[in-house]
Amino acid sequence: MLQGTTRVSRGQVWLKYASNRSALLGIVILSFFIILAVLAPIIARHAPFRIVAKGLQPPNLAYPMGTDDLGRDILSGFLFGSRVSISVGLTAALFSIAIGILVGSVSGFLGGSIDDLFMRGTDFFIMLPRFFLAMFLATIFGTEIYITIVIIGVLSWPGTARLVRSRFLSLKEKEFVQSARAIGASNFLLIFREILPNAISPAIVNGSLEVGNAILLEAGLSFLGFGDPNNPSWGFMLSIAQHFLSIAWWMAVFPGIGIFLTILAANLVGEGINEMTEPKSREWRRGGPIGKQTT
Amino acid sequence: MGRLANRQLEVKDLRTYFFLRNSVLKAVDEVCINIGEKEIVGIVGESGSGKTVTALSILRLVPFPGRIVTGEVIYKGRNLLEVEEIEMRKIRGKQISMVFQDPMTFLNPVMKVGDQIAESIMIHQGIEKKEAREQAMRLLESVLIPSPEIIVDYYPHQLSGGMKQRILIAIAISCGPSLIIADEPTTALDVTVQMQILSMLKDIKNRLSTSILLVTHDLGIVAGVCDRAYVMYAGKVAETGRVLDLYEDPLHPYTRGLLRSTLSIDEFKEELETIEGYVPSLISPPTGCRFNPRCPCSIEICRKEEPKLLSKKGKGVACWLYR
Repeated sequence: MLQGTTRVSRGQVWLKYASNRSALLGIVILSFFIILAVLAPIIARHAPFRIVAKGLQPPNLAYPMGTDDLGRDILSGFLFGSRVSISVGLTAALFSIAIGILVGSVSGFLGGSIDDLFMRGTDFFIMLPRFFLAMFLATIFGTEIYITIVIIGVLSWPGTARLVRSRFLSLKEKEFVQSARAIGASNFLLIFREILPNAISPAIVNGSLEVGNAILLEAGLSFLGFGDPNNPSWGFMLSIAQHFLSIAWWMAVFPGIGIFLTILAANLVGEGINEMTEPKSREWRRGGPIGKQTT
Repeated sequence: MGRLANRQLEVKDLRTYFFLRNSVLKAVDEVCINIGEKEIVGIVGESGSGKTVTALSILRLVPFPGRIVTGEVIYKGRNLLEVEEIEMRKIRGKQISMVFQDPMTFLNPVMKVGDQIAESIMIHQGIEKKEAREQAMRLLESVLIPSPEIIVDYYPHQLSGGMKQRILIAIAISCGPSLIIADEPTTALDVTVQMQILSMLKDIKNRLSTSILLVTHDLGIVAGVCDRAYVMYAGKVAETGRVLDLYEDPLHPYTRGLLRSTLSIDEFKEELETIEGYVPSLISPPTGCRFNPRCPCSIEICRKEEPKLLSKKGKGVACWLYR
């Protein structure tokens, strides 16, 4: 009945997740890029902005991804770019989940006029054209990476807020909430200790899908020149590449592949978690649940 | 009735109404209940008679759109209906605690049972988590749960219904309350487990010297466990008295009907007797005595005026036949 009633050991959780092959692929790709990002300063042979060779060299042994118009190593840029994309993607998604959970849970639990106020606010944020507002805010507040993270986070919480709110609306009527009230629990305890753990799984799924969106939004912003000039991201590399598209395909293709693969991986992971928490969607095809299920 | 001196809880003229869109449902109307120290008091009645709402009103947990309109709930010299919500929270679980009907749904499915017991201890006694956990294990032991050090880390769905009910009891007694309200604690359990739970409640009463308010629809349970009982009908108390008196000499026609419609192993019945008709709608209850449309001894005045609860033969009865 409740998604949270599925309780299995950690090993079983992993087995269940890994039984979904595309989700497994997603986590493999994502961890690959995370490792690249973490190790970038060690693996990269050059600093991303250093001019190291003749410009516009196609991929070769010395420069596996070629060099750009100014003679910078694209592989080094690619490695450092993954740091920006992944850190922005993860932290912005985390930020948006945090806001979404806070707004959704308080709104759903308290109901009444506070709920109305919060939900109209949420509608307002859904209505906003995200990308243009992000550009606008970047113009005002600057393009430093942490500002980009805050902007993306602030613009992408409404979906999570709505999901969490709807779970709270039904969960707050459950008997276990009444029994927690009967032992003298405060509203704070009821929201964060009793109800939230039961409502969190859709928020986590939504958040993991949000990672891909955040990466894409950041790439788009940098592509249009709203990226952090001190931290070259994949989008930033693409924006330089557009001028040389006809003569230097490698400048666009490699960062493009990076963006494509990380977003794909983030979405596969999100789908995987989603299917894991909604057992009905997959297990029937695979011949029964792994681990104990209670309905 | 007697023993007026050592009253644990006194409910006076309680009225809890549910305010629906176009109407008012009088779920509990002019109910008076006394519970003495170390006493097990039963509230019996059909479903919809207002017994659960009475119990919830005592702790001020009546769900929306219900509201306590008037009345007093006197506990340790204070009227609980007038204290601040923050004060009330300190009373709930610590002074007066509750055991609920359905152990399957009244436990949080994603919290370990040990944590759920520890939570109540932590709220009221402000002790550290580790110590609360040890107390939780002792409580599990006291409600006869085998190997508490393992069960403490179980989630509710890993336990049977009877064990879950014991967990709820463990939560209820965790802070040494002076009154436990048990709302149909055995309804969701099978008969053998019912016995265990009931004898556990009795044992708790003796061991911790608490009073217990037992809400049930089962006359057998009342006979087996309670000292006194209130028979409720359509939101009102129809009859009250010591359980023995109620069973041996029921005065109110409703109580008589209820007792006649129970099954007994000792006596053979060709056909089970029933009380004709249904519980009336509480939105527009019958004028006069609420039982009069179903009452076999209904007389003129029953249809016109509501009878008051008067004492008769050491009991209280609300019926015109005993004026």
